[in-house]
Amino acid sequence: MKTDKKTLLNLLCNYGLLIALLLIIAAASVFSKEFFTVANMLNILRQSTVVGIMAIGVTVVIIAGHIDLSIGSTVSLAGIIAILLINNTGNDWWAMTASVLAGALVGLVNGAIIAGIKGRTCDSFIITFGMQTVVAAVALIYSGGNFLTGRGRGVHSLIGKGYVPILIFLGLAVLLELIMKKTPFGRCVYFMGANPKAAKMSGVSVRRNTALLFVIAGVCASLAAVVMCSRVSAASPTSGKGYELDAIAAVVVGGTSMQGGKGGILRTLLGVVVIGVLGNALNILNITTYPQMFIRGVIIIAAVLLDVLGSKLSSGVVSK
Amino acid sequence: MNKKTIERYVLHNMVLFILLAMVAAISFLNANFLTPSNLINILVEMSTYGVVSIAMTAAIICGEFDLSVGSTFALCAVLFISLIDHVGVFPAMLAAILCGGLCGLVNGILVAKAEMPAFVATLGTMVAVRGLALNYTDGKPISNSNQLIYNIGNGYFLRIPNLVVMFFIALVVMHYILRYTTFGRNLYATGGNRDMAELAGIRVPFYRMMIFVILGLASGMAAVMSGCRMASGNAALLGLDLSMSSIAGVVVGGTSLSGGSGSVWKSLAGMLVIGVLFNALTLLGIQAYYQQLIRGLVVIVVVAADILMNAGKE
Repeated sequence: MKTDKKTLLNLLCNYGLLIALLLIIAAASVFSKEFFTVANMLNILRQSTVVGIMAIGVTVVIIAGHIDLSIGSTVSLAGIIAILLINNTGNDWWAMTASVLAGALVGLVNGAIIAGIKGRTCDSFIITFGMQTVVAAVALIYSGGNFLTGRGRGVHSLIGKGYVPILIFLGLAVLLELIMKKTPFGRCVYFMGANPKAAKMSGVSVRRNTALLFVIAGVCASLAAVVMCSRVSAASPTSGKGYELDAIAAVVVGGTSMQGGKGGILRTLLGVVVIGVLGNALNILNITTYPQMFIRGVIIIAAVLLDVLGSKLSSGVVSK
Repeated sequence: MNKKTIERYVLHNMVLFILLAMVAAISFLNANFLTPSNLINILVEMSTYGVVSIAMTAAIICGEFDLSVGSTFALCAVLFISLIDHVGVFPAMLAAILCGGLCGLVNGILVAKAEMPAFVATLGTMVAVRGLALNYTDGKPISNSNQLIYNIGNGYFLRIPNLVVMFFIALVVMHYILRYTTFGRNLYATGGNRDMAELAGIRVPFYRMMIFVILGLASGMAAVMSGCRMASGNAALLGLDLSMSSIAGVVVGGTSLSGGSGSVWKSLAGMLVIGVLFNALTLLGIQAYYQQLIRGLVVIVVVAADILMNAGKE
């Protein structure tokens, strides 16, 4: 292998995000002593868990060449269900189970409709957009539009404290990574994303897998909601509004392609961490909210641009 | 005219029949619905977002879409309101529309030249441009009590509200472009089959870029209309649902997101279905949350039915 200019550029494109992460950490550590401490690093991870758990769920959907815009509303609904049932029944386990089942149900409806009409990417876009509106409305109706506060004690309140949310996030990431890489289902998902027609002709059960994909995204969204509600011991019927785009942004920053068939859970993990570290570093550097938004948008574009460039360079080379 | 022709006609214009059935049913249920003032009201309500929907129709025909129009809309609106006192009304309008065009150009370069997926590129600019708009106004709502913009935004031309006139001008212009110009035909070709269009000698990147410029200009124009009507602007709130509701109008009208087909008239019917529905649910005294539920269900049902029927025909 020659280490010429092209290989170097290739390396930059493949590991650009990791390099960027190290650069951000290095720069922020120079400017602030508080940044590179164990406490702050744990803090970043804990803050990233809600969007992170959503992001790893939607990664699976995106790898299959679909998209799910309804997960933000699912977070709102699942959160409302969790807090309302905890307050009404006093049974945390039952409330959390019901919340996750609600997320699975939303995913199942999404998946059943999209599989039923043999939807392509553009169809899942508009169907899950419709579901986003519907589920948000259900959350508002169910809660009466009210902000709900929890009890702040019991099993549920422990979910969001200390290491627990981080362990849930990382555990889910490892579990989904194993499912995607080591099971026939995972391989079928990559196949469906890379070439849906070929996947169907090879006997992949596209319909069943499609339904399952959206169930995974829905379950992850409701788990994110359980963690979020535990952290603040409250739920609002609009709490997840717009989170779906944050989650999708983390996925694409990580390098999973919107065209499907490429990417992975670990990449999303990296994307989530980069966005979390960046936000924290900008805060520590005293940059106000609005310029932060601008920078975040530019980072999303830059990360994907790097990725597009990288895949152009390595086109023809089979890579995972 | 045999049975098959009629069947095909009904299938292709299903949204028109849905609209007629809705109007008939609602006027039966509520006497205030089918009155000139209410119908004008529906048109005024949809005219601002409608201009963006028209541009979105061209974009979807070309196989693209844009998530950033809402942020562009917000930036242009606050720019317009804030510039009026410094440079006068008409230069401020021009500046706002050009600002929209510039945002569109950035999107266009990212998508057509850098070959980024439109979803991601416009997601990025959506966040970035909203940040710019908020930074520009420091997050505060701004207003302007200029009499001229009030007259433009709330006045009438031949007893038709000015905003509705502007909307229909935009509609007719886009219809002409799509139907009677080479530019329009090439948009259909690009959306229908990009590789084939390229082989036929169409400069595909140019058309894909122009689509985003048109979307930006339309967002700027919508921002001017909204600014004139409300004489104020709030960068945090303006156009939050613009991109999705303009896409919904087009898709409910029967234009597929896969590109290559569609027309502004279909989109007009789609926008009217959503506008009439919204108006009717309010007239019938349905609570806001249930309205939202019904609107979401309508999008799902109409789109799913459309896909199923067209799949059966192929």
